[in-house]
Amino acid sequence: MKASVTQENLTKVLSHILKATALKPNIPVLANVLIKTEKGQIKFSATDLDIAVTAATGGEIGEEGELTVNARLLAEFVAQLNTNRIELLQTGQTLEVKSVDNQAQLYIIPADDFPHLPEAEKDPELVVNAVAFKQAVLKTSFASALDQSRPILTGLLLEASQRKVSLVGVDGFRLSKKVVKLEEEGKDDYKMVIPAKSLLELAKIIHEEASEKDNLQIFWLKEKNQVLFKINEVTLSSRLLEGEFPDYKNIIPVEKSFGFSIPKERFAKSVKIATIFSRNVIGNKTFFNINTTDKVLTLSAKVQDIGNNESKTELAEVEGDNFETAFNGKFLNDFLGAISGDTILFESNGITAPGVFKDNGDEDFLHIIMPMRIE
Amino acid sequence: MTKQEEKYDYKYIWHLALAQLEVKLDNPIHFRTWFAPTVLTEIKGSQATIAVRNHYGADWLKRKHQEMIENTLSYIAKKKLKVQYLISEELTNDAAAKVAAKPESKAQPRTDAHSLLAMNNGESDQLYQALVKAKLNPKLTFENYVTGESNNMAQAAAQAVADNPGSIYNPLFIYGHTGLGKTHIAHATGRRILERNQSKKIIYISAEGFMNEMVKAIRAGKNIQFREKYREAADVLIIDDIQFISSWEKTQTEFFNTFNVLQAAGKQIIIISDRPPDELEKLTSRLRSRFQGGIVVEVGRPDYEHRMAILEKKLASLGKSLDKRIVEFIAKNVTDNIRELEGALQKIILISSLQPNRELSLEEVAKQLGKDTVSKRKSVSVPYVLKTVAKEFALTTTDLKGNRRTAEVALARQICMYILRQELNYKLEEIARFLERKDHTTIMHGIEKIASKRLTDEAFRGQLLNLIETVNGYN
Repeated sequence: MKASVTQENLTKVLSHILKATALKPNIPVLANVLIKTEKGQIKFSATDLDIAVTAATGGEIGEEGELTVNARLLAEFVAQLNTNRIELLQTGQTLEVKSVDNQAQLYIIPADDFPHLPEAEKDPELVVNAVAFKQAVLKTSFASALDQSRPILTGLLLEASQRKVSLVGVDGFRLSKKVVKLEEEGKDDYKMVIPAKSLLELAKIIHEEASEKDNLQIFWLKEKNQVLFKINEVTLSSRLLEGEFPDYKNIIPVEKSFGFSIPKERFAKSVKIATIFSRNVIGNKTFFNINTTDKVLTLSAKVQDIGNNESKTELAEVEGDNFETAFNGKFLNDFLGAISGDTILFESNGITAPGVFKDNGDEDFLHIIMPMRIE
Repeated sequence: MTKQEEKYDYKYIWHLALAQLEVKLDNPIHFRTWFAPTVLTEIKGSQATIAVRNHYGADWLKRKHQEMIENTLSYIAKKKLKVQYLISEELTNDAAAKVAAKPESKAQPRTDAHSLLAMNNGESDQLYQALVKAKLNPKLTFENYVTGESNNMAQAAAQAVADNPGSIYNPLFIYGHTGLGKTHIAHATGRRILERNQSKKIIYISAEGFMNEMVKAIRAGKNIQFREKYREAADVLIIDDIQFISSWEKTQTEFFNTFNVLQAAGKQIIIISDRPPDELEKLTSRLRSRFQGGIVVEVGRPDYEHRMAILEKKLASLGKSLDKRIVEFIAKNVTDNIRELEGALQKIILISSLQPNRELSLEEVAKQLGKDTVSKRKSVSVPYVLKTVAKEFALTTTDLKGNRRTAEVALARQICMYILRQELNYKLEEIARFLERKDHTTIMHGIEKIASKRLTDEAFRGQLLNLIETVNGYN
């Protein structure tokens, strides 16, 4: 192999593929990046067997070839070079990486020892605006479970009909759902559960790679139990989770008997203050007291033998009777960190019923938090 | 005559195939990554299907090792086979878990510096202190708890509790006979909670200890301190051998109150008992219903595969090895409880280390473990076998020895023959004499009948195994 690439392009593709490089791989080749000349481009790929990332860049190709070398070393070396042009040259069992005044030799593991990555074969099943999809991931992934006691909950449910696609995350105590409209009409209904971890890596790639108008193509490789995302010249594929995702639609209440709206900034401040105390309590228990006559929401927390606090906020609109319940303060903070609008709508059907949180700036977003017991 | 479908023991065939492939491949890392987490799921005609974890596994095996796999499998199945792959994480989960459970063959890090935290098995000093303070045995962890069918419910429930103390199953009630690992699960749960958060206060105490402390507190007029310790300071209360609490009424009241306070505060309670709550005699009904309010899980007696896994893990942790046949023999014959199982293993390791230049024979092992025919006949008498079986069928020993030939009597009689032969190894003629039959062919016929019924009739198999266990004195 003999090729030249600009430092900028090489740094960018390497930063993409590093997301799929195993940190401490069982088999050495998984620490490597596969470099391959193909159709006038140079393609870089890496995988940790959970996800795989491939990124291509243009360059001058002197001699075709394919090989693998250590991804992290190559990326760190290239990032430090103060040059425009970098040459990649295979000599025997090493790859020489050269700029004007720096050079490195990396030992090669043959490309044949590298796993074959899934590839998109036909047209994509779904096409969606990349930035919108990234936001959907960021608005839902924090509600998925981190522990492995129910593996299916570590994933986000992707459900698509002809016009829209939704992502849903559930961890047993909260649920987050975001709907995004499709850019091209879908051919069928689709349903799959994708590890939240994989989608967060995808969100990072979209963040680095996509501009407002770029589309994300989604390919469902059903028989391989994989999903593949393509944005410009970068693809990310991930395994899918097997198993039955909880029937979340049953959790979403259809009726409400209490409700209020509140400015986000003031609510966020109030939650933050209550959290100072509530984070010292099991479950970060934060009490919600809604006085509908005075239109006041009082958040409070108490730590046994230490002290307590109270924080009042005026409500914009109120519906229903006086009302008292409690939520996990950390969950409230997570939710507040994910939304974009300036007003929050709260709905509930009783003190033990799920609390529904909505964002006036995004009507396709829905968040549910289960209340805690008050005694 | 209908043509019979060929029957294969897929698990066994693949076990053999993997053993060969491991040798042929001669690359332990690749073997563990690509081969070990696979399962042979079907052989149909000349087509074998192997489940792999993901697309990568299917691709790798196909591209790199197809010929070797097909040849090996064909050789073992004694027919020419083509191999295809099926991607399924679910089907391969068990196989993958086995790989993960193997002790890592980590090379010792090369360093000349002394580690500050090298004591206590490399555990962080803080964790170790926290474990000691909570009276938890640092050696009992989830990692070295071997799960099988009999205990995976309990283990899963305990892990869920460890991950979300106080919120999922409260209380967690674990019961089972002695020596099956109840205490191990409870300690491991406490440990996991501490690993996550060392500031959690965990109290581990037996019901008896709880009572003693209470009595002492009352005598010293320190009731309030006692209550505070359990009701306010504890985040997790693990109470062992709760069955003893039945006889002490005052302790029950105290415990009931403690229980309520803790549960209301969202603190986790873990209770260990030798029997389920509804069999705890003299327990007040309000306490009984509290015990049943969370989740009640049983730790049962391990089956053969499970016992093998336990022995293998124990050997690995001791860094010893034993002839596979001996290990299998121990697993097959020491069935009562895990403590005894590990004891038997230790005994055999000791004996074999005393004679390093000679392999132990199975007969010697049997003798050492008291599992040879002579010791067994000593502990299980023929009249006892007859009586036990007769009782199961609501008959008398005289019925068995008599001439009645109703289906029920005949079956009971044949079961006796089977047990006397298989378990106690008596000669056919001897069995004929015990049961007052004329000749040994009747006995032979009876044994065959039971053996085939055992294979085909699932319900009967359960009943038979139960009887054999009772005869052996395990029930």
